[in-house]
Amino acid sequence: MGFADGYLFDQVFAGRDRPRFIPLGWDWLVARTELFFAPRPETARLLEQAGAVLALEAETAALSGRELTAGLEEMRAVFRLGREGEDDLLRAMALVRETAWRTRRELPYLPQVAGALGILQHCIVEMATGEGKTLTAALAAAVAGWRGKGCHVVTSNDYLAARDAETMTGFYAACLVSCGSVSQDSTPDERRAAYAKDVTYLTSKEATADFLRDQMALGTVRTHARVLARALAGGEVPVLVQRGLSCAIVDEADSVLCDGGSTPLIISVPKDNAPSAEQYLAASALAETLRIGVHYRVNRRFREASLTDAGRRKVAESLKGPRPWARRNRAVELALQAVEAREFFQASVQYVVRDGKVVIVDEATGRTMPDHEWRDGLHQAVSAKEGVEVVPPRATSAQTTFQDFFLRYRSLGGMTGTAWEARGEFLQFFRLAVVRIPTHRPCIRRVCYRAFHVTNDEKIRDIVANVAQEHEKGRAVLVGTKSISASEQVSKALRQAGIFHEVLNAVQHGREAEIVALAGREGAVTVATNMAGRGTDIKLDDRVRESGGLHVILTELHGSVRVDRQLHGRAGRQGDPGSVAEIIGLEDDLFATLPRWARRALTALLRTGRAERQARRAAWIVARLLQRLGDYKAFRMRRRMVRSKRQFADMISYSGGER
Amino acid sequence: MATGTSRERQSTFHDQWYLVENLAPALRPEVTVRRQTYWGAPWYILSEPDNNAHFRLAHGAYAFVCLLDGRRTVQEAWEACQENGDEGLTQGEVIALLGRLHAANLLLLDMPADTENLLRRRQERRLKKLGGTLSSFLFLRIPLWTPDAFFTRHQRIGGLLFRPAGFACWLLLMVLAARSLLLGWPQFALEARETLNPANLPWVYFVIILAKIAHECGHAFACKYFTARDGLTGDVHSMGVMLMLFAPVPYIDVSSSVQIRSKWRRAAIGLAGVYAELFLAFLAVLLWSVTAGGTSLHLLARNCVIITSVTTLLFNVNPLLRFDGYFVLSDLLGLPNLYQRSQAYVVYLFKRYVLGVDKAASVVHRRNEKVLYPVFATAAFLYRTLITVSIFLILEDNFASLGLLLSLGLFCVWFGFPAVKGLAYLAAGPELSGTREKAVLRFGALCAVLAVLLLGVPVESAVTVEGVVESRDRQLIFAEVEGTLASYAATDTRVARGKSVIVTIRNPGLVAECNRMALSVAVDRARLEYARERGDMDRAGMEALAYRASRRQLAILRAQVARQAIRSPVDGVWVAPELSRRDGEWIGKGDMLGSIYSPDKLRLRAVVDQFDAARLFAEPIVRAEFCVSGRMDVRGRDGGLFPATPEGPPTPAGRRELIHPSLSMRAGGDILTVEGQGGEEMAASRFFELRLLPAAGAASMLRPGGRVLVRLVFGERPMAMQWMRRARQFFTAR
Repeated sequence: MGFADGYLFDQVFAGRDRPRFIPLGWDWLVARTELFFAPRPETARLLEQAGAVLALEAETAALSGRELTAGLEEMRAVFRLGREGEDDLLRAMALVRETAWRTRRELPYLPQVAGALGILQHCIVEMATGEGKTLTAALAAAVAGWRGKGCHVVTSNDYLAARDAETMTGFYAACLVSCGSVSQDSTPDERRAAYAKDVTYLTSKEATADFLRDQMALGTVRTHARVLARALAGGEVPVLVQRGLSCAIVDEADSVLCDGGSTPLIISVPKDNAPSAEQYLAASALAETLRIGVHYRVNRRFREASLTDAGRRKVAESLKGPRPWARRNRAVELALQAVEAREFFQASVQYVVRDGKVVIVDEATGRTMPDHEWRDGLHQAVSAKEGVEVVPPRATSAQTTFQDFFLRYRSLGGMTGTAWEARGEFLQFFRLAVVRIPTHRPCIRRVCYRAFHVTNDEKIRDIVANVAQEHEKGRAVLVGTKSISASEQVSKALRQAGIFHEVLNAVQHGREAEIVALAGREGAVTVATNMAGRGTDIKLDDRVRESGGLHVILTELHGSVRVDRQLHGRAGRQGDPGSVAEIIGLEDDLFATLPRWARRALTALLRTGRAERQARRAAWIVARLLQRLGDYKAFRMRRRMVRSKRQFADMISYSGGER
Repeated sequence: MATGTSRERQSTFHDQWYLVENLAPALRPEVTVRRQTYWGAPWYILSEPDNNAHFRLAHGAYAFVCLLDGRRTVQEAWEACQENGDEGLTQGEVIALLGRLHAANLLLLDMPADTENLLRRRQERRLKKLGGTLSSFLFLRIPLWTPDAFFTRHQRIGGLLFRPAGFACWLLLMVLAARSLLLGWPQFALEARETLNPANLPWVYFVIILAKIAHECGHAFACKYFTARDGLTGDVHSMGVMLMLFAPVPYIDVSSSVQIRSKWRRAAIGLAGVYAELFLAFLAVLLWSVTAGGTSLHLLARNCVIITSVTTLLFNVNPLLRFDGYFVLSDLLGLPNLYQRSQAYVVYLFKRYVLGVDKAASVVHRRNEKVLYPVFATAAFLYRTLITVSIFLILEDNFASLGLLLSLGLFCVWFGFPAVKGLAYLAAGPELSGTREKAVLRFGALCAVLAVLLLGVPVESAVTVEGVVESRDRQLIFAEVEGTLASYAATDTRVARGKSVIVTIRNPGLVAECNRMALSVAVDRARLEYARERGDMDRAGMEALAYRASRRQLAILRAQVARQAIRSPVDGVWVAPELSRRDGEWIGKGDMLGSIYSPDKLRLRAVVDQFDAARLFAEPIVRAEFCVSGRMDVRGRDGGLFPATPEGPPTPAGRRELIHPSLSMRAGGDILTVEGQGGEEMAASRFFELRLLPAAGAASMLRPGGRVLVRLVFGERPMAMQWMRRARQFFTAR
C-alpha cells in the first residue's frame, strides 16, 4: 500500500505490549539514514491519489443506494482481512466520499480527500484552519473502522467529541461502521460500549486515563498468556474497558503529541501518610521571614532559588522550635519551595485563585487547567502562600506521558493546522511524516502591519491605535495576548480610548462560548489570551466580511512559531478575507532570554533614529531567531526527558516496569 | 551515597515512588555483610560469593537495607528510616539504591522483573564492555581458567612464605642477596649492560613470564592465606593472560580479598606479588654469585634479577599506574577509585572555579582529599602523558603505518574523546542550563588567554644541536727517540714552554751507547795526547780527526739522551689520552705521543640537521650558547650557558662524513650512522656544519674531541608556531 513501508519498523515492533522505541543518539542517526532512503510520503503523491479518487466520482455517483452499500460491504471485507492494495484504498475512498455526499450533502473537496488518504498512510497532515478537518477525519476513520479493531478519533475536548460523534453517526452508519464517544462523565459501562464501537470519539486525556486504569486492573497479569492462565486456573479475570490500541487519528496533533507529549497523566489516590498541611503552612511562614539577597538568592531566568549561609542558619534555627520536619534537608527543601512559590509564581500569570483553590493556567493556551496540580509539593506551597486551604498531595498510583501512550498505537495518523515546524520531532518520536495539503480556496489573509517597539507603553499605544483604525472600518478585531495580565493591560488602554470590547481569559472563562460567538460581529473588539487560538472558530457577519473580515493583532511573539500561526489562522478562514498585524516590543518575554548586552544594543540601535528601518528589521530577525530557538529548546528538553525517562526505567526495571 | 551540600536540594519524595512502594525485597540469603571503617566512618561491604560481587554501603543506606526482610514493604522500611534524621534516605535515593543492588544481583524480589529491560541492559552492558575492551586494547585481558582448586590444594605450601617464619626467611635472603650483590657489583654492572642486547631478549622475555607467574601466585596464595586467617574463603576466580602492549603476561583476579577487615592485610595481599617477585630476585642473586660467568644458569639468574627489580619498581609499586601500588595506596588511604575520583574532583574544580558552575557537585568533602586528589591527578596525568608519548614512539618505530593507526586510536581514547565530551558538556550539558553563557564565556576567555599566550606572545625560539670541540691551534708531539715509555705528564694538564717535561722515554741502549761513546772519546783524546807528546804530527792529525768525529757523535748521542725527556715546545694544555695504555711499551721514533693545544684557540663544530639548517640559512642567529655535554655541574658565569659566536654561515653543502667519531650514536652522540661503501661510518642522512668560537672564559672546561650541546637562539616567535615546527620536524624525520 503506497508508502506504508515509510512506517519503517512497524513489523519489528508490531504486537508489542509497550510503547514503540524512540531512537536517540546513534540509534536515531542510523534510523535517520534508513529513513532518508525509504520512500517518503509527499504532497504531490497524495494530491495525485486524491485526484484519482475524484476521477471515480462519475462512476460512484451513478451507483444506486443498494449498489453503493454492496460496494462498501465488499471493501469492508477487503480491509478487515488487511488485503487492501492502493487501488482498493482509492476505490474505498471514492465510495466513502459518495456516501458523505448522500448522507450529509457535503462532497469532500480534493484537500479533504488527500488529507484522509494521508492519515490512512500514517502521516501528520497539515491542513489550513477551516478546511473541514472533521469530515477529513471521518473519511479516514470510516475506512480505518472497517478493520474492526477500533479506531480512536482524538479531539481536543469532550464537547467536540460528543458533537462530532453525533453529527457523523449517520455517515458512519451508511459506511457500515458503528460509532460512539467517551466523555469525562461516562460510566465504565458506557465507556466499554463506546470502545467496542468501530470508531470512538474521545479526548486524549480520556483515552490515556482509561488505558492506565486498565493497566492497574491488570496488575501483574499483563500478557495474554497470563490472562488465559488465570482464567484457566479459575482466577478472577480483570475487567477491562479498552480493547487494545490499534489505530488513532489525532486532531491538533502537534498540540497533543509534541507540546503536551511529555506531560504526564497521573492517576492519583489520597495518600494515607502524606506530609501534613501544617508543614507547608509553617514553611510558608518561615519563607515570609527570609529576605532576598540576605537569606536566599534567586535566578529569575531559570526559576531557581538557593539559600545563602545566613538562610541556611535561619532554617536550621527554625528546627529548634516545634518542628514539623524530621530532617534538615526536608526543612531546606520546604523552605526553598516556599521561597520559589513566592518569587516565581504570581496570581493570574501562572495560576488563578478560584473557589478557594489554586488553579493552574496553561501559559501556552491561557486556559485554566482545573484537573492539574503542580508536583512535589509546589502546589501546596503556592496554596499556603495564597492562604487558601492546603490539600495534602495525593499519591500517584499510575502514570504515563501522552507521548508514551500514543506510541503504543500500532497505527497513528493525525492532522493539525501547524505541524511543519515540528516535523523533525514527529519523525524522530513517532516515525510520522508531515505532509502539507494546499487549501481548497486560495487564502486571502495577509499581514498588513508590523511594528517593533522598545517599551511596553509604546507598544500598547500602537495596539490601541491599530484597533481603533480597523474598528472604524467596521471590521471585527481580535487582539491576542500571551498572558492574563497582558490582556488586562490592553483592556485598560482600550477602555481609556473608549473602545468597547470583550475580554476573554482564564478569569472570565465561563463566558467563552458567548464571547467567541459574538467576536465575529460588526465592530466587535475581543481581547483574548491564547485561549482564542487553536480550534476557535469565529463566524463572521456578512457585513464584516464585506468590510474586510477579521483583523487579528498579535501583541507578542510566543515561544513557539506554531502557536502564533494558530492565532493567525483565526483570520481568513474558508476563503474569508482577513488580515493580521504583528505589534511586538523589546520588553516581551521572548527577549528575556537575550543577554543584557544584546538587549541594550538593540535598544540603542532603535533609539538612535538613524538607519531605523534596518534596526527594526534586525530586531524582527532577532525575534524570529529567538522564536525558532525557543521551539528547538522545547524539543531538546522533550528529547532529554525521553532519555532520562529511559535511564530511570532501566534503573527501576526491578519493579516490573511502568504501570 | 553522597553526603553534605550536594544532597541539600534533593526532594524527599519521588513521583515514581508508587512503582516500588509495595515491593517487599530482601537481600539474597547468600549475601554476607562485613563492617569496615574508612576515615572513621563505618561502611558495609555486601558480598555475594557466587558472582564474586561486592558492594559498599554507607550507614544510612545500610540502615535501610537492614529493614528489608522480604515481608516489610519498601514504604514501611522507608518510613522507619525517616526517624533517623538526616541520614534517612530520600525516596529517590531508595529507588536508585534498590536499582544498584538489583543490578549487582544482590536483591531477592517476589515480582517478576522487567525481563525485556533486563535483557536489553545485558546487551548494552556487553556492548559497553566491548567498547571498554577496544579502548583498553593495549591492556587486553583474556581469562583462561579458574585456578581456585589449584591454589586451595597447595594453600599450605604457598602460605609458608607469609607466615612469620617465612617472612624472616625472606628477610634473611634479602640480607644475603644484598651482600652478594654489593660484593659483585662491578661485575654485575658490567654484565647488566648486556640486557638490551638483541641476543639477550628471548631470555628477558622468558624471565618476565617466570617472574609474573611468581607474582600472580604470590597474590593468590596471600589471598588464600589471609582470608583463611579471617575465617573466610578467598576464592580466586579467574586467571588468564593480559596482552600488555601485545606482550602476553599472566594476570589473576583476587577481588575476594575485599572481604578482609584489616586494611593492612588487604595491602599485604596487594603487595604479595611484589613480595614473591623479590623473593625470586633474591634467590636469583645468590644463584648468580655462585655460577660461573657465561653459563646459561648464570645468564638466567642475572636477567631475573634485573627484570624483577625494574618491573616491580617502575610498574608494580608505582601508584601512578594502575597496578598493585595504586590499588594498595587507594585501599590504605580508604579512598576507593582514587584515580576516577581524583579526576572527577579536578573536573569539578575546573567546572566550579574556571567555568563558574555553582551547581557542580563536589565529590569531595574531607580536607585531606582536597589536597591529595589534585596532586594525584596531576602526577597521574603527567605520567600517563609520558607513557602515552613513549608508547606512541615505540609503536611508531616498530609498526610503521599500523603504529600510526594504533597511536591515533590511543590518542583519541585518551585525549580526543575527553575533549569531545568536554565540548559536548559545554554545548548541551544539562548541568550548565542557567549558567551556560557564563561558562562558555569563561571557557572562551581561557581559550583566548591560552591562544594569546601561544599565538601572540613571542618567545625566544631556539634549537639545540650537538657539536664537538676542536682546537684551532694544535701542536702534535712526536717521539724523537725510540725507547720504552717511562713516565709522562697526566693528560689535560697545563704545560709551560721549555719547562715542563711531558714525556720521558727510556732507551738504555742509547744511554749505554752514549757512555761507550764517551769512553771512546776519552780513548781518542788519550791517543791524540800521546801522539802529540811523541811529536808524531802525522799521527796526531789523524787522531785529532777521529777525536773530533767521536766527539761529534757523542754530542749527537748526548742530545738524543737529553731528548728522552720531552719538554713542551709551547704553552698550552697537554692532551694524550692514549698514553696511559702504552705505559712501559716501546715507542718507535716518530710515533705521535699526544698534542698540546692552546686553550684560548678552540672552535666548536656543531652538526645541524637539514630541517634546522633551512632555518639557519633563512634567519640570523641572535645568540648562541653552549654547555659541555654530560657536565651539568659546569656552568657559565651567571649560572647559565657559555656564550659562543658563530664563525660564519653554515657550510653550504650537506655532507654525510662524520666530523668526529664521538658524534655518532654509537659513541653516545645524536647522529644515526650507517656503514658507508668503504666500511666507514657515515651519517644516515645529510647534515650541515656550523662553526662557532667559544667565549674565552669557557675554555678551561673544554677539551678537544669532547661533545658540547649548542643552543642556537633565533628571533622571538610564538610558542604554537615553534611547536608546529617541532612536530613537522618530527614527522619529516620519520
